[in-house]
Amino acid sequence: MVDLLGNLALGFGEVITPTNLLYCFLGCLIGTLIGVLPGIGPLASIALLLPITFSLEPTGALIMLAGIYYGAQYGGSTTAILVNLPGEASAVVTCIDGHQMALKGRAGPALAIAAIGSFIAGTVVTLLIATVAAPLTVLALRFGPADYASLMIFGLIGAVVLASGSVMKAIAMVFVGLLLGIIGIDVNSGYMRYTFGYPPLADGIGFVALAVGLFGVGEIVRNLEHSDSRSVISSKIGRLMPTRRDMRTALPAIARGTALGSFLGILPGGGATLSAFASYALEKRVARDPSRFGSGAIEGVAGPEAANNAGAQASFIPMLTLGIPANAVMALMIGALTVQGIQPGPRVLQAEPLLVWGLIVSMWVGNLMLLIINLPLIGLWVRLLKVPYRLLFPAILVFCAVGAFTINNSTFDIYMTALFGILGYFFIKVGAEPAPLILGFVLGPLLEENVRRALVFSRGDPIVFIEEPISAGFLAAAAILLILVALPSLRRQRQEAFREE
Amino acid sequence: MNLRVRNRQNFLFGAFLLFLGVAGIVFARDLTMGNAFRMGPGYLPNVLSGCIALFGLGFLASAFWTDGEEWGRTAWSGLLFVVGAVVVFGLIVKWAGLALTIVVSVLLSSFAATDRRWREIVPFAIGLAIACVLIFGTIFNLHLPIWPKW
Amino acid sequence: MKLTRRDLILAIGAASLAAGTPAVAADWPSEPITILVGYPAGGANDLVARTLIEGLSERLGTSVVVENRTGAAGVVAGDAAARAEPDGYTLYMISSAQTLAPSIRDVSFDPKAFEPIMLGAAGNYLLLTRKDLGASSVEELVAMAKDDPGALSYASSGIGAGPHLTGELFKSKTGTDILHVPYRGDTPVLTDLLAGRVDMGFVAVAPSKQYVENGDLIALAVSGNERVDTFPDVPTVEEAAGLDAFNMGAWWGLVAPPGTPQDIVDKVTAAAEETLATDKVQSTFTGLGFRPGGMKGEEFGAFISTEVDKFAGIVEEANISVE
Repeated sequence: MVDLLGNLALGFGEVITPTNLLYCFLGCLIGTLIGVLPGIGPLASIALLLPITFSLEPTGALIMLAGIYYGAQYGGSTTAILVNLPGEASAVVTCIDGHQMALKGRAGPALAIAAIGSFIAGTVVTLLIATVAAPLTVLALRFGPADYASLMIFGLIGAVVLASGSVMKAIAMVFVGLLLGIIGIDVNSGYMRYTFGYPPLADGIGFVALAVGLFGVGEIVRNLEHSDSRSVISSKIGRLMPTRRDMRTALPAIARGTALGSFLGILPGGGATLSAFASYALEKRVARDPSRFGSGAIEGVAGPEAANNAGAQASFIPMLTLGIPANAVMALMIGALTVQGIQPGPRVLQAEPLLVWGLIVSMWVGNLMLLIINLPLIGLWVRLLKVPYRLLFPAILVFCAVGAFTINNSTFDIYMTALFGILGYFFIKVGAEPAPLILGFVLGPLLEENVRRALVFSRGDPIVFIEEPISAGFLAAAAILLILVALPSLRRQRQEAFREE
Repeated sequence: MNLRVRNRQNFLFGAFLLFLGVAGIVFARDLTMGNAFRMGPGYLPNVLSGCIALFGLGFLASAFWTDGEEWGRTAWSGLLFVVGAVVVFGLIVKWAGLALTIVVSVLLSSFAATDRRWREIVPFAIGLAIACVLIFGTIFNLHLPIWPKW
Repeated sequence: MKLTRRDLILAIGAASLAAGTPAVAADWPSEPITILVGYPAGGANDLVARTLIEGLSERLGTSVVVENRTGAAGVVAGDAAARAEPDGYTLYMISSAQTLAPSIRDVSFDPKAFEPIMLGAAGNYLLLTRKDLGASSVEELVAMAKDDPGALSYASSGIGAGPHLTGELFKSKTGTDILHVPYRGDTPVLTDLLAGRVDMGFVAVAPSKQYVENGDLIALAVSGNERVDTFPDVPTVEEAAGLDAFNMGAWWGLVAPPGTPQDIVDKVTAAAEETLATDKVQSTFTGLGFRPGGMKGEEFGAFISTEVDKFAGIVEEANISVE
């Protein structure tokens, strides 16, 4: 305990220098900006800034890069809530209820609760990193391919809960997402699948093109059905800050989201994304009235936002303790450190205590800065919604197109955005929600890769999925979830059947 | 028996799924199937496509015995101009540059709004182009084509 | 003199024709130069390119930027580079993966056709095993594999990637049967080696260095024909297993699109050579676990050709097939 306080004090001493505070602030600001804009993600901007950081001293460089990374998580929720544009997989869930809140004139509370939830989650995870990073990493290492596969199955069944409409349509959409996720080079065999000999498809469909098209473009066309829609929101913009009742509903959701995010974020791969989806599914499960979800439930914003920020920050844990990056951004950070002559890994804590503790403390300081940056901005963002829709939608559209273009500097992603825009509108018209599709798209490739790897290891014996305790646990949980999902609709059908008799 | 599409949503969704599923199977025909324990690259594509096609049949069938919600308007002109603006953006951005492309796309897409006012949208398009050039070209320095190449 | 309209059109035509010809080397460079990188930011390929751009831009007097044109395991960028305007404003960071690609899948460009500039950096793989496998030398490992064919497993960073070919070459040269488990990149390979789920694998020196120093993984050999500075005690595979011609590794180098004027190529080469020689670049590469390159011009071109043929030979010998 004394150690911990001493270490934190050491970190504070390192962060509270004017230069490091400036780097932290700059990182948060850039992060917020790129989060708000669809397309340029944290990965691209960190890559662009990388050469600049070579000439900074390592702590400042790392603090700034980290600020960009979690700043982008904050910013991403803004566009999701205001204009239904998810720039990253984790913001997809925020679109569902966040945008509904905005439509009902509650954009202010939605944005505020997203910022508050992220801040609370950031604070908790900072403490977690400071105290139990090492044991948590050991846990993450124990996750084998069978365990991942079962976790993904659990996640996909949970995806069905995401739907507020037809359960059958949601399941069908998960399958469509899984199929779209297959496009590209197969990791296990190296074969090209569904690429039609066209190289840009070899890496699969771009996430931004898919999400921005389905959500953003589709939503724009829907709004244009009514020629009289003069602004996004029909009702008056209410108060900016959440009410006391909002807070009471949101706080437990934030706590649960933080817990989920801290755990799942440590897992390499889809951890951070999965945690946002999982949090949404959980909130809908525990809610007294699940029918509010999909039409502006504040827990549906608070939980996932806390979860994705917790997940984003928890992904620093395996990097700091093992030198293993949990995602591409972390890999880039390791690259940045290596160039500075620091090799992240088991020994970095002893070798570079100032750097590690400075980084940890900077995360909390950064989260505080983000809260301070974002809360006053809410008034400004909300005013954006008062811009007449006839001007707002061309602007959103342009940001979609530029965003898709900046991913690979290729026009191919722009055409894909257009294609998915048509599909997005089609899905809205036929009453099929896109969120389950996105989850299937994100988890599908991971699921297949891990199932097949598990079977390679077991030489084709499927018993591994039950033999491994973690895997068995997830499969059991998935089965229970399936029953829970199926029961209400079964009961309803039976009731209907009786009624007809 | 009265065979009439009562649920347009399910009918169209079902048709889409059936088409996707069949296409998925057709285009996966060159991939090795393997089996559930030794999956080849074609295993999952075929299984998924099959499931999707079955879902499609189910929704198609249900369209004849369930009632759908009211369909409402279809925003054909919205679809045309919004999607068209995105496609045109892709077609011209490489040689026309970001600035001009944005102006063209904004003007084109605003055909989708019935309440457009040219006096308002033209300066708005130019302002947006300037803002995007500043954000993407200067602040992030993404090395996008900004000005036309003649 | 009376200018007819026809004269005017002709004159304009001639002027635009003149403007359309590739830039004359004398006034080159007058625009920013783009280096195409076929892999995402932060990868080895990208780091090598980004380490060089600062010095290049200083010496050439124009900004030099990296463009990550990812896709299809580097094929998208290679294709773009092969078809780029040969005016010196597009350069390409080629790597061993592109010389290997033609022998395992249909590739739309010929790696031998580029105008060679300079080899930037190179690195070998370490033959790593999990720490509790119980083999303390390559000989013991081979004996173990022969004892129970198919029981051992090796990880690679992907089908058709360098480590996969290295693993297959190892199997065919030692006559062993080891199960191949492909991953997506080095990171998950290291994770599963550390967790002990996979027995061995060939991994680049830089990311695995700390685990070997720490004792979490055991380095049995180096895949090149020379030992590496980082681990002078680790023998090469050739030494340890008595194999001949076992020289595998990755390298990254700068080339220009086919047909780029020689004087422009020479200018870049001179700038690249000076950049590479700076302490900063040397220490960055060493820090990343790479050997700084230096081979240039025709020598580098000949090297690319031999690499293409070498990989084709291995693929045939080890009977690897993708598509």
